Amino acid sequence: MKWIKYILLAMLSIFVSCNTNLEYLEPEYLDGSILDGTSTIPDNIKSNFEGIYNIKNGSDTFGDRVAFKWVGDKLIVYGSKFGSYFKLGGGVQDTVFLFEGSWRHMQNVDVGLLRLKISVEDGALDLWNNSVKPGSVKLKGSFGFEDNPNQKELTLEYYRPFSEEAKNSKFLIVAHRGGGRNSDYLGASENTLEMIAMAEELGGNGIEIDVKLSKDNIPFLYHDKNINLRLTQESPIQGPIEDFTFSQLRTFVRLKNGERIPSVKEALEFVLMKTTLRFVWLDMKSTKNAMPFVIPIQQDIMKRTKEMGRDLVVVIGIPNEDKQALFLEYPNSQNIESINEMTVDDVRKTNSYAWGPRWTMGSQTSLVREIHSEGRIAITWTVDQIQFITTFINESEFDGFVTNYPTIVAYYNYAR
Amino acid sequence: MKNGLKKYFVIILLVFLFLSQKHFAQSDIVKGSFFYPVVMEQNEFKHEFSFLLAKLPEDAIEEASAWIYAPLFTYSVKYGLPQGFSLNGYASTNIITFQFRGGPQWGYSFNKVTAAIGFDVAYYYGQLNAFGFNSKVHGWQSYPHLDLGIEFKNFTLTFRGELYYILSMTQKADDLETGVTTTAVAASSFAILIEQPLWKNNFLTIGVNFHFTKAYWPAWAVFPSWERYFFIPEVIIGFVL
Repeated sequence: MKWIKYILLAMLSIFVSCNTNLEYLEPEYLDGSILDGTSTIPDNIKSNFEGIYNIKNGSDTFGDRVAFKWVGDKLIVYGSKFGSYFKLGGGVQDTVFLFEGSWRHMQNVDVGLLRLKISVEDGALDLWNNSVKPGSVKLKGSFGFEDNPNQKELTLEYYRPFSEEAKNSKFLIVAHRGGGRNSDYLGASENTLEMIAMAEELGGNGIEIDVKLSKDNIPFLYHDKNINLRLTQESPIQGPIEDFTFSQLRTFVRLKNGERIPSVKEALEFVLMKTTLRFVWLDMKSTKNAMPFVIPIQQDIMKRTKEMGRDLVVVIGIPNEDKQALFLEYPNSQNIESINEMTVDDVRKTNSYAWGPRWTMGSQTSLVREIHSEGRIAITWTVDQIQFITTFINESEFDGFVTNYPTIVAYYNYAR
Repeated sequence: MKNGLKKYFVIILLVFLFLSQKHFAQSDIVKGSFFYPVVMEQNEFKHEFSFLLAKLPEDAIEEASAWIYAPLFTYSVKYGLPQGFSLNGYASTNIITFQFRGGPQWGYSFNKVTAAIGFDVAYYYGQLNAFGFNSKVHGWQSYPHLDLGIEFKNFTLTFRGELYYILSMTQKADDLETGVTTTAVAASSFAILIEQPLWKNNFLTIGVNFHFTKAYWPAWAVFPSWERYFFIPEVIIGFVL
């Protein structure tokens, strides 16, 4: 009897204490930065780095080929394998280029550091002289898992520039939940300003964000119905999130990575002023009628967008008939930019800017052409599997899609 | 697992823990157990009904509907063959998914320890109309497993280590084939099971099973696109019929 008690108690304690979620830690250089003392890479040669590269050493981890693209002062490298991407800072020492940063697999939580160098014999002068040719530039260095950047050799060789099709692509890569989900462990919580700030580095040129309405009618960003530990830290308030005023939510709720819940107004202001994102899908997740409170904010942003000459469209999501009825009740709704997820006839009824069918309906080419002929665009959701990402990019006529893996979509879009 | 469900399981475990136990003859303890890998007599037949509840990772399920937490009900049979062999069969369902699994096992006993190796093949089928998608899955899996049982005075203790290979899997959402997998190692699991008399000659099984998997098949609809392994613990409660 004594044994069985011990065994059962051990089983019980193991079961109750086990954590089914992952721990993720951002890697850090423990030996200082190689970029200290370097000068910045001049803006006029940055575009020489962009293009498609073959991976000579390291393809087991990152795949055979990657795309290099500058986003602000970061050189971002997108690969296909597990959604791998590098976020690199760069510097110049004499004529040699040095890069340092982290890498990540988006489809799992493998993460690590890397360091790369382009020496004179590996084509640094070609980059300075705007004379980059296939095979003329090599980046050599090492990478490793977690905090060790020196575990494996890494060599990348310039293969070709972006094609004209890739350079001119207007394809919308709409990053889900502002850039990524909490389950993607990106270091910022989903539906926050911090996540939106990362969206472009992750390869997105658009975002989808989830809209709720507070008790005092302030639209804010949040996905779930309840305050819960999936999205927030321990909080003194519990229950349906829309039962609280915005001030209560700001005071008592911290999101998973410590951020405060942003309002829709703050989020759209941020997109307008701090990013070059071109598309925002407001997914109307509220259980209440949020249209009268969200639409004026959206319309104000659209007005300022036009005044600034900015290429940005913010659309109100219409996911079902109930939301469509609420949208149509709003004065002058036919002139409000929206995305209708239902049928093409519903899109016409709401005079939507875009049609947003779910991806499992397939490429629906004839309907997409109908939509295009009416001056609208078509954005499907949510495409995450590589075989469908390539199919939708290369074979469908959609203008973009929502994805949890913008890094993968960015690679295939640049590799056109 | 939702806190409410976890609470009920803790209560059941504690009730089980403090139940008064009858003193059974050693052979009865072994004979009455189901998962204990005893060498069965030829033509001997045993069957058992169990239910399993898993603690699913929030990363995968997010704010999913209640059905995600539905227990998995399993009816299991064993049939004795000559030379230490037996045939095992299992039919499981959580309403949205059905799995039919079976295969041979060979066991060997020495003193109070029995070891067995076995190989099961399973077919599973699932259908779910939720989240705006009409999704379906079907496929074949194989389960090579190794069992080790130890007899105690009033109960048996069984350890089962299992590999779980997807031989083929086809997923559909609406009319689009969204995933086809062939020959990929999907998972491993390790179970600890205790079996003891509950009343008269009725035996109760209680155990935990720890999965390390990319795709937990009973919740197939929420494991679509990750390339990472999840740790999923399960509680098992069974009644030998």
